[in-house]
Amino acid sequence: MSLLIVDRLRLVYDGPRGSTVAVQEATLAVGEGEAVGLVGESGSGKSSLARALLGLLPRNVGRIAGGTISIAGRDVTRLSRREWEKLRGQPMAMVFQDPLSSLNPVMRIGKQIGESVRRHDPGADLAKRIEELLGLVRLPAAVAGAYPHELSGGMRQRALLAIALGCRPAMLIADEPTTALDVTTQAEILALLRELRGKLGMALLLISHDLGVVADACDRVVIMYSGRTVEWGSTADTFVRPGHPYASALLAAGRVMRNEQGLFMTIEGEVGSGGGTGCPFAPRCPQVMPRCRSDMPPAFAAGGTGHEARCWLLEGKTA
Amino acid sequence: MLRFLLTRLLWAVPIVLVIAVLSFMLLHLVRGDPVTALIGDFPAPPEYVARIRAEFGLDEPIMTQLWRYLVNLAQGNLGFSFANRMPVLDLILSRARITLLLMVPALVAASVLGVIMGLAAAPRAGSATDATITGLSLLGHSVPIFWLAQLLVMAFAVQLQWMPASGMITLRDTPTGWQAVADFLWHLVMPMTCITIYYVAVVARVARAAVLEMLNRDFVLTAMAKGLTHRRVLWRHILPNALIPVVTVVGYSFGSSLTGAILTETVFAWPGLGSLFVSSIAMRDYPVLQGIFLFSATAVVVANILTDMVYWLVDPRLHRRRVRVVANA
Amino acid sequence: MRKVWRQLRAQPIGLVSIFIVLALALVGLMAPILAPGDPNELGQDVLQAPGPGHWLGTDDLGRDVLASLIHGIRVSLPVGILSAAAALLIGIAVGAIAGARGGWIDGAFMRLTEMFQVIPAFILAAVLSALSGPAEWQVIAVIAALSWPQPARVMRGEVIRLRQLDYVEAVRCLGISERRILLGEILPNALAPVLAVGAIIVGTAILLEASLAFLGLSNPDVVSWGRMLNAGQRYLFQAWWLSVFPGLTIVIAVLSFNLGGDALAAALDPTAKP
Repeated sequence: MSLLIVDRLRLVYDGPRGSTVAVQEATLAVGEGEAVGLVGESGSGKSSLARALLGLLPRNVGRIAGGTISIAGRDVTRLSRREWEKLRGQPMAMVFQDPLSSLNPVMRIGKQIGESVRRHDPGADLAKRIEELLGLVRLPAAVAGAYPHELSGGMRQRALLAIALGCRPAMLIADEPTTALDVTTQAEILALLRELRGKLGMALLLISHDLGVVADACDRVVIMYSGRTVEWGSTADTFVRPGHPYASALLAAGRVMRNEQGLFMTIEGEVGSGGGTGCPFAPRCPQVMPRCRSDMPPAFAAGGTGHEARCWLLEGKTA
Repeated sequence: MLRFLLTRLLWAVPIVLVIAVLSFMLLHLVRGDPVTALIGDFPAPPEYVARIRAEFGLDEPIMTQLWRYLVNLAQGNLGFSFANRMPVLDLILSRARITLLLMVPALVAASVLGVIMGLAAAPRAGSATDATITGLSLLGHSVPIFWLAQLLVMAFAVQLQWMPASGMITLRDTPTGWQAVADFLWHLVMPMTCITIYYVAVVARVARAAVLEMLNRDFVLTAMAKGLTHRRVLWRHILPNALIPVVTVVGYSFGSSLTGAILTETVFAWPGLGSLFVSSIAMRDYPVLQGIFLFSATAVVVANILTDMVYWLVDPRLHRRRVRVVANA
Repeated sequence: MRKVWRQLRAQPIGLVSIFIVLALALVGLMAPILAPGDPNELGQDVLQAPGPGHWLGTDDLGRDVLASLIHGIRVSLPVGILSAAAALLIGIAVGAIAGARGGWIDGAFMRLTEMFQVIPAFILAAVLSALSGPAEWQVIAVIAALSWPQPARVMRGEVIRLRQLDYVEAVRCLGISERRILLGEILPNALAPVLAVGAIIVGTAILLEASLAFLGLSNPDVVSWGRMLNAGQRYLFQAWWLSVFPGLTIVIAVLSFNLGGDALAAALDPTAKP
């Protein structure tokens, strides 16, 4: 059963000088127990997408301008603020990027975790449950009495996880959970996530610009570029045989490979502002065709079950 | 905590010293015979004048006089007020109490109202509500406080005749018991409103800015992602964080609020420091003026230290600086 | 320059405020023409309510309120502007040095500003005026002496911030001396917020001067807004116009400086989008 279905979502920010389209068209799904990664660079719209999934777009500024979001079969695209308050946390909880600024600096960790528990687990023994949750994320019980600034970055991230887990979520959305951490701590957090998924059967939507992190933690991956989901499939299929030139370029750049001239492979140009009718990657694509500039390609099969990419190059090819 | 307090107190000493010296220098600006400075225009018996001369060493070099002055200060001797027939220190302290009776409720009311206004304005930033609140704040603080007092008197005492125009208690048929309390409160309303309006402006501005900043912080997102109601997020997460700058601003504006109280008192004939100040000017009671300067500057220093302490207590980031290395399991 | 103008136009309130300030200054300069005659001259119509002939009424000595207000500009505005200018000069210099040198100079700076900011300006000015007679330069000196920490702090903050920026580093690498960097690159960019503080000081100065005059601590031979409020206090129950109009004028002046200063600072902000 799909916990989360996003169908052709379009997100717009309204500013004093006009509107910007943050997400042009995004489609993805996360099933029970699945781990899906959402990959994209800055400006791809992935963070906006994440916030929209819990109705957390800045109130008078961001809005859903098209498409739908369904959580556990329920259409949540046009929920009111009060209805969102009832829905958040369960079945989906979220963990944000910067652990220091994501925690209330003047409230003890235990109390912040306690808030989740009291909200979603009303009958539970508070102290015991907090201890339990801290144990789950491998933090000593003493952390409950500490303030965020007293903990290290990795510990704060774990505390954030504990807060999210207090909601007993069926699915966890993690927005760049490892970006603010050093490499060793990153590995620890990823291991912890894996462990939690195993123990709790929790689904995961992991958002990151780091391919390595996604490859490590996720079964499936969705790649976003300039506000559009452009390729998706199992991690294995997509990373070994990417269908979209952007995905190939990302992987190549990520592997720090050199090309024939001995230069590092980079992706020329910058992310555009979206809009326009053609493929947004056309200005930077090494294999661009005239058609790409005028028509946005639909999804084509790219080899492997459930592996598709929106690229004209794949037209007519069979897996 | 103790170390913090000690450091602050240590720093306060040179500041108070400078204030004392400044205060001493003030008296020497009075034209004419320095005795006039100490006694004022009152016809004093020659023996008293001679005594003053000796006590204050008026014929001695300046540095000696300064030393005597400081020594006197340390002993709590600020001089004598001929006009009021009291030692200056006692006089100031008794009047200060009355001024505080006016100031403290006003500041408390201003803080509460200001925070409410800030809480109302910030989430609606850019809207008409916000513009109104911001506009009123700016207006409230661009107005001369004594003019505001005059307007209040004209509106409520003259036109509508609801409130007494002056004084702290009704002098004719002075009431007693509960009625005395009610009478006092009735007299308190207008001057207190005046001061409150003036300071709501300051607090509202700071509160609005603080809440606005908090609204953009990630921890608010975390709180909301937990499924907490908007109200809970506001009261339990945003407010405690936003109050920190508000508390510090209110504390540090104690000095200006003292000035405001003094000016307000003159319009309402409220018998506190302000009225004493004005009457002493008229009667050329210079030691009192000097004393009031000394007192108010010192009061500001004390208020600053208290504010620092409150800030230190309220923000956990300050007093738990040792990062406890809690071991990883 | 053009960009500054365009920025200003985007803030109508600020623009109006700046115009009001300029208009006040102009009216003040032209006072002898606009309100001829000695404003202190005692007139016939005593305590007249506003009406034709005396649009804003007259006071207890027959003086026309409107004329007095116009002449009052010549007291309030110069005091306000000169105080702020002096405070700015001192503040910018001290703040720049503290921000540029850092170390113990900076520490001493912070202590020093604390010392100055503790003294209540009005009380000091009032006591001074009471003890040695009212004098305008005294008021200006007191305000400047007690207000310079404000622009100094802002300046120091800006200098510290700007020194670390990459482009300043780049200029430094070209071998240009630290002093020229300070004067050429940092100062122009730090001016905007400092100016806003300056405008606030003008407002504070005007209010302070008015407060002094209200208590009778200003030169009685000079017509000023505060003095008029002092008279108004005596006739609170009879002649509302003696209090309302001078007060209103003060509010307009102070507000205009505040809002105008904010607008100017925002317009001069080099990081604002065109």
